[in-house]
Amino acid sequence: MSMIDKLGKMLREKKISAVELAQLYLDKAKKLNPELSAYISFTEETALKSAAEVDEKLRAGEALPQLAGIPFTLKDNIVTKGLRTTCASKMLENHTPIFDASVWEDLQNEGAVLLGKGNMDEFAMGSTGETSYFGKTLNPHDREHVAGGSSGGVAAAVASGMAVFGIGSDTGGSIRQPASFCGVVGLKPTYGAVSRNGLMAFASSLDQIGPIALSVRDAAAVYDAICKEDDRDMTSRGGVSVSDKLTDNIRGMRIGVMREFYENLAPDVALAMDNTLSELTKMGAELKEIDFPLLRHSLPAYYILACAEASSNLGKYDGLRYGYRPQEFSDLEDYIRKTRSEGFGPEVQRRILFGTCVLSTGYYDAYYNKALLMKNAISNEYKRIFAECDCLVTPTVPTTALKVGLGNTMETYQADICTVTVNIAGLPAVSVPCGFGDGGLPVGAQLIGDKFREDVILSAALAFEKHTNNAFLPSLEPEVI
Amino acid sequence: MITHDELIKIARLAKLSIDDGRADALLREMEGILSLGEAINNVDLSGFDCTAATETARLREDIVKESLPVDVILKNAAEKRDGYFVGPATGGRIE
Repeated sequence: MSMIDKLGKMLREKKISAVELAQLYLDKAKKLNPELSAYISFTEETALKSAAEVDEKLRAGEALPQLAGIPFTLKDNIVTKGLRTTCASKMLENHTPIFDASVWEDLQNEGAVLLGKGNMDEFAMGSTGETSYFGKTLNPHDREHVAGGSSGGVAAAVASGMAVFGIGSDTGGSIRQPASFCGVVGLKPTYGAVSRNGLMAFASSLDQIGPIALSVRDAAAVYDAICKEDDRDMTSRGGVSVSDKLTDNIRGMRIGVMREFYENLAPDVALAMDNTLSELTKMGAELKEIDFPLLRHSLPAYYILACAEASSNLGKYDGLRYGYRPQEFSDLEDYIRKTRSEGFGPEVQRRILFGTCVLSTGYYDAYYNKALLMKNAISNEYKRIFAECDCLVTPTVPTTALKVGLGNTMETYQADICTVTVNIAGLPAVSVPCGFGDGGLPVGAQLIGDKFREDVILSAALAFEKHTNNAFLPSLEPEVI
Repeated sequence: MITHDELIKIARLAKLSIDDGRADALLREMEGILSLGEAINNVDLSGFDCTAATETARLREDIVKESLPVDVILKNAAEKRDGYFVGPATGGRIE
């Protein structure tokens, strides 16, 4: 039984109240947070109020949704009315949103209990969780390693029992990569499946919200609660709920193995992936070798497009209406320049500069337009692949969690090679724990599906979880169970 | 190859300041990504559209809905007056 189901059963059987459960998780989160920095802020008052409402309904004998009373965390780039939302930036250090993001509305309607806002790389820009203005998030498996990014706080919180599940955002791997580093399940849904209304935009053609959870079943339950069509996001189409479609029988499933994704892997990741492929074969899946020669172009195409969109999306932070304001300035131009140079951290500034460069005269045609063409070529290539395969399996990241302090460099950019291609093509993908590497650090396998086929990739992931007896999932049992 | 002068121009467009100590490192990093991007030129991309539009984009009905009230919009303003944001006084304040 999944953690959400276990806790839901206990709540319904009145073995614990929702308020007691919320308090248990809040106490644990507050105790661990000084070490891990998984949360930027706690929302204790909101949590206890939602939990009390759930208890009231349980006492009245109401049938409640699956997530009612379940404690969770939201990445701090998802706006929450009246609750500080910072994007982990000095720019928005004291920002209190005036409306709720659609996913937060959905989860309030479910009765889920928000414990706090998850730490992240500033404006979701980074792969290590180290660019946050509020301190770097450390990996619960080994504090000398990073939790990953940019949804590192959410992944670390779920992996260490500071929340039952979390909601992250994924522009180039920001849900899947930290899920892989922290040994939990991270689902990046199809572009358009979950509303981004209220997500502070990084790169609008690539951004997607999704769940991080302790198991495939839990991730599916959360996805079902948030995959709703929403006219406040023009790309929203709504997804198809999956929980009732999952199967752990994948006999005959055609799973593509793209050779290019298995080049330059760290030896411990390569070993874990060999075992994963072997287990999938034992379960009756039909592995098909597939060529994907465009893979090496996906990384530069991604960085060109993501940075170009970021430079545009972040243009609104000028200190005139909200956010950081400089104290001394000479004129309006100087005021705006100082707002941005003092309010944004170095990684955000680097990406804005790069994005401005590729959109400027002389570079626009040579780089930005070429990247757009490549985006469409990659999407087209996937259409060909999904005519032959039901899904694809790759490593999520070529390494296990990096050491703290390496920073965001070309080397860390290149570690995004397996994940960015999915965002470029708008596909769904899930990272599922598939082994442990050197030092006991988790390794994640990524399953990529065709658009709106979350049911296929989650079924393959569920089958793998079951076949391996949940050996790679966190064994987190709160004291109450 | 991006020159130092081009970097300063880009920074001006991006409304960011760059101190001399960071300029060389930034140039190297930007060159690093651009050099990866140059390989795209060797791929035959004829037949593909140069568009960021996605097939999922859709328009909603053109119906007038209530907007957020002005006092709510101004909630995060550092300074406000008469229902307006007050910007920095850059040319002398008119009282």
